[in-house]
Amino acid sequence: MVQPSFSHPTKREDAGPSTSPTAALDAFLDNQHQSYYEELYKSEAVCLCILRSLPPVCRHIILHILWSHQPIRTVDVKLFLQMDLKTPLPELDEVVRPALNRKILHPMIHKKAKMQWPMNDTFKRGLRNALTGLGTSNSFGVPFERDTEEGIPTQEELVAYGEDTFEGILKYMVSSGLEIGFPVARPQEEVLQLLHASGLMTDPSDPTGQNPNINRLTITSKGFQFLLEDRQTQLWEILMYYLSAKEANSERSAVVLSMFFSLGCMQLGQDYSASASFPHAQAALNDLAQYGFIYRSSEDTDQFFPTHLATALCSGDATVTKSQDADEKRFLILETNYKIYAYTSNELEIAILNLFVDIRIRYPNLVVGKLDRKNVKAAMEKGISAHQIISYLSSHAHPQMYNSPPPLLHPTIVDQLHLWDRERNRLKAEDTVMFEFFSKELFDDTEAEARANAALQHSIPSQKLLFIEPHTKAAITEFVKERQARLRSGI
Amino acid sequence: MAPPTAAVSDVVKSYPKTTAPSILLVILDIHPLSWSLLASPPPLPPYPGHPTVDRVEASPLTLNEFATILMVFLNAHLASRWGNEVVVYGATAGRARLIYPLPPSAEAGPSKPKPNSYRPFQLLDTRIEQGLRELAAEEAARLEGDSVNSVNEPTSIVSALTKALCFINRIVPAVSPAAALADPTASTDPAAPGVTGPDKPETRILVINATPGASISATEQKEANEGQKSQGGQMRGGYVGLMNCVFAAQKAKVPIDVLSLPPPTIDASPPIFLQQAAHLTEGIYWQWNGRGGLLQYLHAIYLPPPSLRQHPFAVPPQDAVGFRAVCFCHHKTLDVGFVCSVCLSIFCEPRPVCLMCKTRFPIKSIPTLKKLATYIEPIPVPDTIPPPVASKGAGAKAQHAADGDKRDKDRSRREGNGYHGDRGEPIEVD
Amino acid sequence: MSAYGDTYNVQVKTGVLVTCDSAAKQILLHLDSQRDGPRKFLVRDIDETHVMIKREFVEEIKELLQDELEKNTYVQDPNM
Repeated sequence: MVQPSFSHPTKREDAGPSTSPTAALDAFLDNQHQSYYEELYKSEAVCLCILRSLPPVCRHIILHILWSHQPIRTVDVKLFLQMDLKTPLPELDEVVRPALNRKILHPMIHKKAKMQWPMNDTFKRGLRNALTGLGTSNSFGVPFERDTEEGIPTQEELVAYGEDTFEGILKYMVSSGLEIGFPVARPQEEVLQLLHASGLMTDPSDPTGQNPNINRLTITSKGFQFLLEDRQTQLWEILMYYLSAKEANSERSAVVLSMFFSLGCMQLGQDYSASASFPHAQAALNDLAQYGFIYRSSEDTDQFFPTHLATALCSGDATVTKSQDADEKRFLILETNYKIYAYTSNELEIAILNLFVDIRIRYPNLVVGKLDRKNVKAAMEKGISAHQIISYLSSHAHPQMYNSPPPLLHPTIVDQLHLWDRERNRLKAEDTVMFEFFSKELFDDTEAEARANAALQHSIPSQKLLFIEPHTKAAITEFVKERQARLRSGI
Repeated sequence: MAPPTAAVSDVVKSYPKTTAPSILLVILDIHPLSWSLLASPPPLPPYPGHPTVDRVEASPLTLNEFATILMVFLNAHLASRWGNEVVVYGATAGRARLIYPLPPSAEAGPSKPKPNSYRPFQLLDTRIEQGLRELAAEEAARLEGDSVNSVNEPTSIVSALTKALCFINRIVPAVSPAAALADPTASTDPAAPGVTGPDKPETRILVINATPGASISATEQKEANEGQKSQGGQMRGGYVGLMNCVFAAQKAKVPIDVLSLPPPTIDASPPIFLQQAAHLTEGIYWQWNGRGGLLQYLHAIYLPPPSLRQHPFAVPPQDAVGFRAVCFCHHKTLDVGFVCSVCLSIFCEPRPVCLMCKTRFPIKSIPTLKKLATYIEPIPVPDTIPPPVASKGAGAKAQHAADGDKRDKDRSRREGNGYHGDRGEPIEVD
Repeated sequence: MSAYGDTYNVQVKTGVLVTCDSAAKQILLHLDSQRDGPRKFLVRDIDETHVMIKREFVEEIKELLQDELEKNTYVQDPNM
């Protein structure tokens, strides 16, 4: 019997393409109403970032008609895309679906014997102003009026500050789950609150989740999955958790969200004035400092510097940027004998690797280990899935690994990880009530009734056995008794 | 929400999900005499069948206005993807200069960031403005200085092209990452973007030509034939230089797009060598029709990156390329010429000794060759758009009948100015 | 269920329905046969992929199954 291969292209189960780092943001935005977008699009920075987040074809269609006065006509789109003129309208809708979702285009209307999509005027104005610099909302950040040139951190210092702060949070998460004793500064209270509220960490001694002792948080399986994702995804998820917390408090989140986008358009190394740039979101700005997005030399100063975590928020389609981070993040070599060589000295990365790799040798710049069954299964017990391990290995693969023919990770390893995942779920156990019949008629009737009530778990006609959900036992029993009475009295 | 029917889009699924970052190099022709022509254009011929278009007057175009339009277009290019870059060269009479980005050694006054403009846009725009002013000031200084006649020199597009190609070669190294690993001593520019796999940037060159005239001949006779004024029309560096650039671009897979500003009313015979350049490198050649709307045209035609052209985005029809060459001895444009079989250089009449490679050919063959040449008919230049269908309705095409030179055969050709295929409606103007 | 001893009788039992592949089921049957008396967990062998066991033995069964499977797994020499 030929074993099914997990890498077989047609039989891929839930192996979707790697989601973009802004998946959390997209999910949030898809649920918002028109009015939310109206407020968002008042800021030119938002229009610019949303434009860049669209898929390329959609993006260019929008840019194509940006400067015209009329709505986009479907015939124009068909000609521009060289589509057949008889293409049905729903298909055209699909082409511009991303723009419709972001309320850049309004749904198709019929006007003057043509079908067209009117464009959102706020967005149009915002994008035009972004391109020409004629906006008035100061959305790209008001620079700070500097008195002296001293005390200005360099770009390297800002990058180091951002990295340290954010990694500190991650290290705190990792160290709570393992017994590793590397010294870790505890993040501040609001950060811990957020980690708890988002489900990334939990207090094991608090079953209800309402009254956690935030000094005693440990990491959850969701937290482990969070650790394995790439940096962009992590950043956006943190921001989205923050935003949802604000929404839960029924505060206005549109202002905060446009602040995120404005930060994404700022320049690394340039100082900005907090009160002038974000007059309505000062509190949120302060909160962001705790995660490493901005640097402020002291609490009450008006001057702040965005770090690379903020400025790289809107950059790229999940491909690495030009920064030196790119090379440091790609350090893994995976061999077909399950050995892993990690050229890194970053404590956090090593701690993450320790979750599912059996580390054998440690040098100052190299860590050697083996993908062990025991370790991988232990990681799976903690909630990490095979897909996550695979995507982590792929995204941190050393450039040398791209030299061998694709696929990047050898199918042996990939399949084995899936198999280890499968092994955990060999048997499925569910509570049940077994009904054994001796009369075919009674059996059939009861089976039909159980199916109708969606109470049936399994049935064996040959042995006249029925397996019923326990919570429906009383109802089915009643039914059976009533049937029995009827059959016995000969109806 | 449209229900997911079976018809829903294998087409949409086939669109690329991401594109590589794109580097756009612009070569802007700022020859002062050409721009003076553009600033006072002759009136446009009537445009039958489209009263809205017909009403539009010929719009004068000054360098200021065009620079503004160009800046917005370049901003749109930078906006369309994170990681896109822009490089601008200015080409004027006899010289070409890099305007943006400046090398780090040059002192660029650090301007304060403005809160309403995205910093990269601001840097680009201020620098372009500054650079153009500097170039213009230099030109003025030259005029007042001794070399008044220098302004008669043709625009040095070839010079700018070579600089652009060298820039590309530096930024996108030809060596593959594997080879780089094998030879770690090969120096790589630390500022160069990553070149692994999907990150490798794609480059293209956009030449904005303001100078009318096709010929690069140096002879007065040819200019008179073309009916040109005595000044513009030639390209410095010559035919050979331009062709070398084109072949280098072809090899490096860098498309050369050409935007020819002089409308057909000023320039009856558009620059054929730029057309050939665009054709050989799979770029887009397009001539402005003089009716305004340049911003929209730029966005529509030149904004999509090369990976998105042809599929799915439409481009203007690129068929009307005049495939003529220039003889190496007199720099005359030829339809029929004689080619050395050793070095493939082209001459207008058969020679016993090739000028370039010095190969000797038998003298006896020369008369026969001359006789055979008379039998060859030059290939007519195809129409851009087929002639309009006589019936009303879908078929009306946009035509400018431009009468070409009477001397050469088959010079009357029809130029199309829009690309809307069947519909033929150009984009409406502001 | 009723005092009548006829074909309309119905037998009702509560327990846990276990679904697994046939190899794992055989292991379960084997485990059960090695036990005796009150420690037997198997209530009914239903078909190729289903068995019914007593509720209180569910966790124990899962662990025992994992142990049996571990015994049959080749683990490479950790010193390699």
